[in-house]
Amino acid sequence: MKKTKLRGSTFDHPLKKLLLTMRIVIALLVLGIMQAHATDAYSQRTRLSLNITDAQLATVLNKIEDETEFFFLYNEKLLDTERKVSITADNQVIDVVLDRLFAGTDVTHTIIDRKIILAPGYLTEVDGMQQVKVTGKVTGTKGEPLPGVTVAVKGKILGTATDMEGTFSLDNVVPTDVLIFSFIGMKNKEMPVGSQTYFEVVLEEELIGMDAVVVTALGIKREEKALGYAVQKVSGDAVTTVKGIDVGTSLTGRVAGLMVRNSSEFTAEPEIFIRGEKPLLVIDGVPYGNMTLREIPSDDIETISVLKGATASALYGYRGASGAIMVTTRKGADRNGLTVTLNSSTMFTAGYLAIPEMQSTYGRVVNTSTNTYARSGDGSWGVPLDGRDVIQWDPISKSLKAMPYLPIGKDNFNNFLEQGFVLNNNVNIIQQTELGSLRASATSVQNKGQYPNSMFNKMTYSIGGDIKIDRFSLSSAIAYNKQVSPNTGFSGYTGYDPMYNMLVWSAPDYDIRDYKDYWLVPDEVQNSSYTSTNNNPYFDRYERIHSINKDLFNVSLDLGYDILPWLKATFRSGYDIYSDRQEIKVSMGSFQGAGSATVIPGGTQVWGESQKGSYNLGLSRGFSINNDLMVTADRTFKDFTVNALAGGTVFFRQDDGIEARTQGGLSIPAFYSLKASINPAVVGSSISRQQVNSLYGRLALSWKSLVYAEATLRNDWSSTLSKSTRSYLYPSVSGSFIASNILPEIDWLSLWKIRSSWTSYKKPAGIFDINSVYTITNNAWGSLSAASLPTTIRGTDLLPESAGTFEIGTMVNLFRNRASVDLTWYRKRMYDFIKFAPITPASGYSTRLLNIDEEWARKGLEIEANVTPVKTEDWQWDMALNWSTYATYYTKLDSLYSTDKPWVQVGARTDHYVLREYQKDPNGNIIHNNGLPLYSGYDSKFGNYDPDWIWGMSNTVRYRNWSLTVTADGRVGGIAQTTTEMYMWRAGSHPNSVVPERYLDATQPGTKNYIGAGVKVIEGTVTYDTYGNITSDTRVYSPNDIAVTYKTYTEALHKGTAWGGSPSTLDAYSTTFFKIREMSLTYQVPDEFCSKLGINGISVSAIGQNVLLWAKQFKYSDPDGGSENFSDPAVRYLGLNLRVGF
Amino acid sequence: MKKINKITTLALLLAIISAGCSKFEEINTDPNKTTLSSASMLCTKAILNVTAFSGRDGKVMISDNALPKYVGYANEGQLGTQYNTIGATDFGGLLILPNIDQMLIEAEGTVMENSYKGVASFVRAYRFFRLTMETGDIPYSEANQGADGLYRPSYDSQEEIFLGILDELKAADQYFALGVKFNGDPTPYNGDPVKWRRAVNATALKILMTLSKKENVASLNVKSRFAEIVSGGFLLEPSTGFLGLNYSTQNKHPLSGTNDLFTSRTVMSSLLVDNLKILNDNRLYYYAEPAGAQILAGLTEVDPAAYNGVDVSIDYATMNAGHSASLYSLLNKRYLQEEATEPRRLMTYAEQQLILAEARVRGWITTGTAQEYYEQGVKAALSHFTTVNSAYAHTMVINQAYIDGYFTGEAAFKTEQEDQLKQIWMQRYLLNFMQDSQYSYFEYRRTAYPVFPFNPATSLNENNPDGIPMRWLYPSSETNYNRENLIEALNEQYEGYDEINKLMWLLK
Repeated sequence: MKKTKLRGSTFDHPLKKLLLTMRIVIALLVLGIMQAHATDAYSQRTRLSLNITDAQLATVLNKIEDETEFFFLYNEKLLDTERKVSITADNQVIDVVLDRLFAGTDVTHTIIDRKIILAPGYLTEVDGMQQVKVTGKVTGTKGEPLPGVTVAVKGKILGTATDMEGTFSLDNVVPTDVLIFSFIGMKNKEMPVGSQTYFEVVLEEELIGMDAVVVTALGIKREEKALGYAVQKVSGDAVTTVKGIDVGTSLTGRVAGLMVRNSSEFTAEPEIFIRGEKPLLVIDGVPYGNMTLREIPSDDIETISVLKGATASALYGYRGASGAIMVTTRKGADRNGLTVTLNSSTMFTAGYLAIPEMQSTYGRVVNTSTNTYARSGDGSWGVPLDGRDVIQWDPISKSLKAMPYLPIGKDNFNNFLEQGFVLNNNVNIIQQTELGSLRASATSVQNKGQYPNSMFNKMTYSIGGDIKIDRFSLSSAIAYNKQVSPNTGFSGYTGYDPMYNMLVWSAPDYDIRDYKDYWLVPDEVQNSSYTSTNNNPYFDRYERIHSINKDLFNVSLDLGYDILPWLKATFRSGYDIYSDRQEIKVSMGSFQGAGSATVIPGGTQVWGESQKGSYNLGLSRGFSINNDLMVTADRTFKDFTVNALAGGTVFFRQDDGIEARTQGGLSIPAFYSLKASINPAVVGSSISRQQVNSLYGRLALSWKSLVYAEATLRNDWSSTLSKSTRSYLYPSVSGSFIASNILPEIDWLSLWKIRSSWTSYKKPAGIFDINSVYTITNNAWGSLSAASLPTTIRGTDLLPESAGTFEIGTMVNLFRNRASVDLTWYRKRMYDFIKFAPITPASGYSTRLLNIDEEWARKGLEIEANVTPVKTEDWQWDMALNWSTYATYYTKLDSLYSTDKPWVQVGARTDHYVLREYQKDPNGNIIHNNGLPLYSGYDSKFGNYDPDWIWGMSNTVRYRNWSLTVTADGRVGGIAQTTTEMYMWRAGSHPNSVVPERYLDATQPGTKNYIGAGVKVIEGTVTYDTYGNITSDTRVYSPNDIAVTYKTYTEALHKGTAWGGSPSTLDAYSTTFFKIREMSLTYQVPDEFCSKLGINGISVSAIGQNVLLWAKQFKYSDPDGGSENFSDPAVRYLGLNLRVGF
Repeated sequence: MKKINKITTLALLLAIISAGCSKFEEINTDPNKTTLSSASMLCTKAILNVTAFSGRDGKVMISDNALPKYVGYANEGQLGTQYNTIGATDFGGLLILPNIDQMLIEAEGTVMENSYKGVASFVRAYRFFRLTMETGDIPYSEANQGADGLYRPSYDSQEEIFLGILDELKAADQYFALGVKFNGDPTPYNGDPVKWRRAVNATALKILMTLSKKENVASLNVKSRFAEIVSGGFLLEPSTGFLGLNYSTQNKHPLSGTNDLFTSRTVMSSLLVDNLKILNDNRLYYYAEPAGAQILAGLTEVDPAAYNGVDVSIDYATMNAGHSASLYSLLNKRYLQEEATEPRRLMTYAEQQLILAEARVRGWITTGTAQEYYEQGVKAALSHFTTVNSAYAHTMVINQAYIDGYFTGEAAFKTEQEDQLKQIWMQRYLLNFMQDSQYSYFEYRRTAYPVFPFNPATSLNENNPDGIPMRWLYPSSETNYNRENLIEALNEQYEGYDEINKLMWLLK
């Protein structure tokens, strides 16, 4: 092997000699510092045997170099290489050999890994450490002076900045100091001081974002400028200051084209969409089958790369068809030795962004013959709460008695809610050595929800390490996750959410605080204001519970071997396994069952087993395994570089579930076991499994850092398709062109890149979808089991679903990268949809499974901008903005299987929100029949589900050791039903339902006082065709003058259900909102203070999550979750974060 | 060493890959599903398809009973059926047809083949019958051909459909005549072909009576078909039992355990209550609870005056106020509290005898007397209550002595034909409460009796506030996936407009 030697033959001049001497000193110093942390493994391992007499020193050194991997660094002028030496060594370490070799001379040796530095002894002694003043000038590559450059002394709290001429002066510097010159947009430069007192420093431009390396599919690291598709990176630091329950929440608004729906429901995971689709999650190169972002603690994240669209993730096959979120976890540390980091976040509920309110004027219906109020919950359509005597339930004496009827429960909901919190604590321990690292991390997240008895605990422990020995590298990690909640509760109208009891179907006429003793007969009868419909809310939270207990392991192994310097083989294996035990316990005497809740995914919903008590047990488990083997080659030929890859993957996943439940009630109250079942317990099971085998290849070329081109090809074989169609190809091509490299140099244009890509992807059918099998129903009647044929006609020739995406983008960096803009436009053509296409059941079947001939196109635009408007020594303001939009359109319709509706047309959007409008006269007035609004008998399009556009913004202002970060984001457009408000109206609980007419209705029973605004038909008729178009209309109108009760009118006006029906137009809200998602004010304790404590760094932050919400139409609930069905009050969290490093 | 490791790893992986490929079919097979079946299991499915209550929950049952004015509903907003509006039906019931074909394939060559053929013909006939009763013309001759590639079946006229239905029932009679005891029957007949044959013929009589307005249509030959079945003699006998299903703790009555949610605010109609009172009919005490206000006023639960129905056409708010004042009788608690308070009866001896009574009055048959048939029918109907838990009967128990003394006063068979028919119709109306209540609506369309209360000021039937809707709309599966055929059918029947007050052929 060719050894590098520092030859001094040109150093004749004494000054040059001095300079050389200095450099060596510095080199030794720097290397010496490094060595302090290193263990000289090679020098300790390697043993030499020499027997040389009377040879020149140079010969001996050459011999040592030949026999070992050591090489020597020395100055020929300073070392007498012609000196005759003799040496005998028998299996000695190098240290001993060198000691003998230079015995009696002043030459010292310093061993750094495989490098041995030889120098005369005087050079290693530093001159007196007197403090000097240094001055200098900093310029750019074209000689222009650079003002505002930070000049700091490495490792010290000492520094200054350059003035307008680019000059600086700094006192109290010692020769061993190293000066660091830094300037935004420029590469940092380090200069050792030595005896030099004047410095001419030239800083080179740094192409931020261009030399930046991002992780792409299969874990391939690439320069961002080489990419022909959109990738956006989020650093781990961005998500570790404000730590909520899930890291997904902290990603909201940070990436153009990435939409996160953050539901306010307790334990609900944020839902992540890239360009409207759910992406694949890849952790350290492994696309696990069961891992979600919930299982990754923020503190374990080094970076997140968001691969937008199918081209970026084409190498993942169909699983990457919707883009991918690539998480790289923290591995080693940037310095050797032991690093311990503690990051602790504590946040408490500080009010609510959105919380339902309730009217407190009216109570429930009072039976006029008994003067007793209704005890089956039907809202608050009753008498005014005016202090009259009404026979009511007294929860203290647990009996009915006459009491003044007053709004004593007007604050029931608030009184019922409890202080919530999120505690997120992490300890990270890293031992970094020359050979590799070992890392352990433990995280605990504890979340107390808004309701009583709501706790959710999440614990993650991970350990990983990597080593590199010669050509061989190994990296492995294992993580264990536990998620436990004694009661996740029941959400939504069909789950009998606490709001169902407290805000909708009850009246504010009882004080919830008196109902904490919720038993009348322990374990059998509840102490409740109601005798049906509404459970005592405390009873509901403690005696109707849904618990989860989930364990999840994931393991990865990554083996690399450098076959040749340019050829590498990698084997990567990832395995995950989970088990989840869920129980639903409903006490005897409950007025509600478990509703729509299930104990295994896709399990049975249990309705109407409530009053006798019930117990459901669900066990689910599953695993996935993903094995990759690939060979990569990287070569450079003159101006060309070539990266090639070939590999294969086997992916297999299986999910099992078994559920069992009692039937007919519990034999003993509060005995929650399948043994308690009065009728034989019911048992069910499910299983699903899939295997996909793949082969793939990739070829990337670049020329002169100017043109980059890449092509990939992957073939999958999926078990979910028939033999004839299960093999399918995904090709992709992409390229980028650095236009600024061929333009004449423009001062303000740092970089201009143009990129484009195309891919075609396929998606196979769902698991078991192609099978035509019987459904067996056990005990369909008595002991008889029933069988039924599938209601779907399946063809054997089902092809995978297809889509092609074309993307074009550009990136411009301006003003030495103080500003950058990235723009992406894409068009995705979707065809060969695998659809259970509905057909008339008169054919004997309800659907046909086939590839329909309908086509869609999704078009989108994403803009991302980063600006640093202020940048001085003390101040810095960084701003990141993103904006994105997309919409999906029909581009071709299937004459047989496309839905035959007016809004299904070529050119129309596919995300239509359909409902039934009120019937209106030509002037737009609502037509009434008998005083009630009339609905159309035909569906019509009201709007679109998807937001028109989404945006996000992040601002960080730093002043010395202080920094303030604010992130905000929002969505504009999109329609969602407000189930909460709809039912509040219908139950008479809505604050706006307190109108004068209602008072008259309530106080003068039998009168009708409300006249709806609009018209009525006085003569004539109307007829419609099957689309709902009017075919004849002879109607004549007059103003509506028929009075009805306000209740009847309201119920008709807010028609709709939570059971799948569409709402009235009044309850279909725009989801437009914006949120201040996160805020943090951080103080970084000065290093000098830390070092006195022996600490590596401390920062303290005041933090907030979900700080502020503004919504266009949603007032009582947070539209962030995307749909609204009794959303829990949206919590504002405020707290503290403390990070300490040792 | 390193090379060897490398090669081993590679070989191992290739082995995994190649091993995986060969098992793809196995991997993509759901062990919880089967490609095997049996005629008996398909038979269970087919019979349940027509006998079991198909509504999602108890509220659907309440709604079904509100349409023929048995009950009102003081809860959760106005119930459309109570205020005379209905929506679209669903052709989902026709999904049973391929299962019936498959049942016959499985049964081919077995001793039970004829019995299964009987079941097949009956279930098909019954399924088409109910759907055409709801909407009018439906796909019939081209139905059930999806497997052969016909996804957009054309519609047949109601006349043709009825002809087919009657022929299929006739065929069912013949198959059961040749049949042996078969497996998979969930009904109390337990696979007895003789009982099934009787029930098939009784059902044929019921359908023929439904066609009374078309008694002179030559193709159908209603009267002679009727007479032929009666003279054949294979009709239900008191000992045959009903065609339907027994509820149990496992297969609960739809209203059982509904937890007051639906049932507690179901108020009895004055139409039902008053007619029971006129007849001194103790079913009043089995159907209803006394009105709370009346009991507070000192009346006892045995006093008919304690029972008070609501005019179900009154203003909804007024009804709610009345309900809040405990003015009205509620649905008897047994429906809520008992798991199997009464079985589901689709065809009974009682109804058959009442149909025969009407046929005798109309002169369709000449054997027996109308009075005999009438009294047999009513007695059988009353005897259904001897199995109901008498604890719910407010001490006014129906026993044999009561049954024997029933035919006095208004209950005694009258002399005028017009009165006789009304008596017969009223008894069928009383019989089907909480049973096949939809049929009472069908019967009202035919007989306009009992006289339903109407109030144009409260009706939600915007195009005909003075009447009950005459049909369901066609389902969205037709407008979306079979539109051309639907439009043709609408043009044939209803001037192109799918509307609930239009009259189908049967009712013209």
